[in-house]
Amino acid sequence: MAAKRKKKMKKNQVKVPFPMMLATVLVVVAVLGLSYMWIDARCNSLGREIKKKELSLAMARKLLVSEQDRWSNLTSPINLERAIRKYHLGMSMPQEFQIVRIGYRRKSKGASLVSLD
Amino acid sequence: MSEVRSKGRIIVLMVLVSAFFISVGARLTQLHLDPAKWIQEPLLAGRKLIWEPMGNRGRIVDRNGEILAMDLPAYHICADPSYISKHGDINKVCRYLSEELHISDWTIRKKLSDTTRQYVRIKKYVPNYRLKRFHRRSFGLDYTPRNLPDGSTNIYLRGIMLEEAPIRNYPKGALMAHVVGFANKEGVGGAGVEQKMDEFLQGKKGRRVSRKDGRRREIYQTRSVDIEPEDGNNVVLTLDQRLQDFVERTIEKMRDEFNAEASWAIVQDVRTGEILAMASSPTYELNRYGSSPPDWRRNRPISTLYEPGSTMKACVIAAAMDHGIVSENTIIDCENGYWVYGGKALHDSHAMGKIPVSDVIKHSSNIGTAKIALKMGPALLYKTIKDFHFGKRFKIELPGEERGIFYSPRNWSKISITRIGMGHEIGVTALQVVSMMSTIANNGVQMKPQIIKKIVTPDDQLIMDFPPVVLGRPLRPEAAKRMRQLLIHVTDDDGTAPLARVKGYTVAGKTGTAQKVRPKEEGGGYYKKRFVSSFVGFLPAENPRIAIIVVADNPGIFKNGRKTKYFGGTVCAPAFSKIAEFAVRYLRIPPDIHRIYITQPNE
Repeated sequence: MAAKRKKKMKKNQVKVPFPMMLATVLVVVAVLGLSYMWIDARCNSLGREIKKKELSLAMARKLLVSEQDRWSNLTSPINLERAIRKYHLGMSMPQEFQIVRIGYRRKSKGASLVSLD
Repeated sequence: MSEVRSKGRIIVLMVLVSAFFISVGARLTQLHLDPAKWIQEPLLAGRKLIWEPMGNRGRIVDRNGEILAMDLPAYHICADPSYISKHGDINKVCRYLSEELHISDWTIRKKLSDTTRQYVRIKKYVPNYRLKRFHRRSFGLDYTPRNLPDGSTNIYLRGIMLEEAPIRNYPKGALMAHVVGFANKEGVGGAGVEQKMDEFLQGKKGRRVSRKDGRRREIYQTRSVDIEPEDGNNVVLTLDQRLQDFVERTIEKMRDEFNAEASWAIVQDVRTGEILAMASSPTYELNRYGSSPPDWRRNRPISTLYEPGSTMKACVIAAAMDHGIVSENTIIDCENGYWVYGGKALHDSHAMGKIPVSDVIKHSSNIGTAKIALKMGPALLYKTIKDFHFGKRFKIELPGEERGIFYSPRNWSKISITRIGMGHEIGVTALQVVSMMSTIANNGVQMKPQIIKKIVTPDDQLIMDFPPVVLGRPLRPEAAKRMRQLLIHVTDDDGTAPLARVKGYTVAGKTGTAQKVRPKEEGGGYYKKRFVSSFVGFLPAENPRIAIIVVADNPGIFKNGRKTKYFGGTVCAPAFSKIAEFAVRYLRIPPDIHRIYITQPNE
């Protein structure tokens, strides 16, 4: 009985034809819209990443500059001397007897002197 | 029939609903893609971000690339009192900032007390390395205290911001202070190379136009203009830091030892004219330039005029020999140390009779030199001194260079010709005197003194080069060579500067001890017992490489009421010797050796 009623209802139902074109357009629009949103979100995310990298590059540059300043201070003559004294790296000039000086030689018999300089 | 009517109503309803949603969708699309200006503009104005960062100021480095001046990242610590009062915790802010920045709690509290304000500076120019415990967040800073309480995380200090404010830093402290100079907090050069090369050192502004979101963070995709700031160019000096340091310490010791008011020195490469060291004592700390007396900031080697005294004799006699007026062996009567000319007496410190010109130089006879100057005549003497660039500026790349005082012969008195030959009635700078001596050392060719080697971009591309420049040839090579031979004898045992000798090297030079000029307000003329003492020389004499001048202002030690130890040979010659000894080792200048090859018969 119920089944028969259902069949009758179905028969009496007005069939409204849904246009395929409209459905296709709506689907296409939805897909485009979703793609746009996805790409936009992706761009935002990349943009944030780039910003992060830019900030870390700026921080790294600043760190480099600070280290260069520190290095320059450490290699100033006064600090180098302090370090030399601290680690006993100092060297002294050689004693007089350790220095070889090239000078004039006495002329011997039969020899002739040729000066090159 | 009823079926048809229902169908029609449904279609109409569908159309109406579709039209409604389509129109809503279209309007949303239109608003999204092309919103009306009256909607867009206020939003954009509020979200616009324009950032114009300044490029860093260029660096100043020595000839070996050692950094002498550079910009250091620093920040102003700022606060928004209005925001803190509404959303922050003033007690936390005051407590942690005062701990970290070493400012009193009360000072910070006072600055934050006006809650109508949105911007106050708590502390200015805090270097980057002191802010390691702070990290930026959206509306404040994260702070990591030294002693974190158990279980707690960082402290969020709302309403505190960091504003970039780079500072100029001089990592070598007082080294080369007078040459490097300083730049003020606004990044403008105020002295030295910082001032003279300011236009090259200045960085250029960048520009970034973008938008920010609700959290004040930049939206990268909206960046429409992105011009990177350009750092300033780097200036490479001709000076060497190691040599400079030695020279500075030597002249400071000399100043202390002989009680001089001031001392200064220059080391110059005779072949290229490059200045390897330029020092002045007293000096000052570049990172605290404001706290030093202005007199200490004077670059004396180029800005202090003094009468050179006997050092002038070198160029006068060299020119006389060059023009054939005298030779080394010409006999000059030195009148036993006392001579009257033009109604004025002239004295020698050592009384001598008739001596050759070589001894006039060796013993620095005033009378001998005066007579040679008379033989030259005013026109030739004037031309000689002018040819050596006295009375003119070298246009060195430093501010404050004096040209000197040297009047033309029409302003001379009867005795001026004798006095000028001895280095009086003329005002010179140490740079002019060392350049004169370098000319004699360089076979009579005068090179322009150079302080700057080159200017390069931050990535080492050459912008400007400063090659050696020949200023002129005041002497012929032969005369220069002859003069060099005479100047060697100044350092003999019976010369005026035996203390200038350097073991293993022949030194040539000339002492100078000139009475200081008394100002007109104090009566004019000369002080009796105040001198400017100097020694200028070069080595190795046979093949000169460097010239050095050392000057002391008013040296002297009082003993039993008498002033002693003020002569150039006593005060400046030992300092010259120390500097020269260090310089020849450091610069690896070989001594003058004669290589002799002895041949034997049948070889």
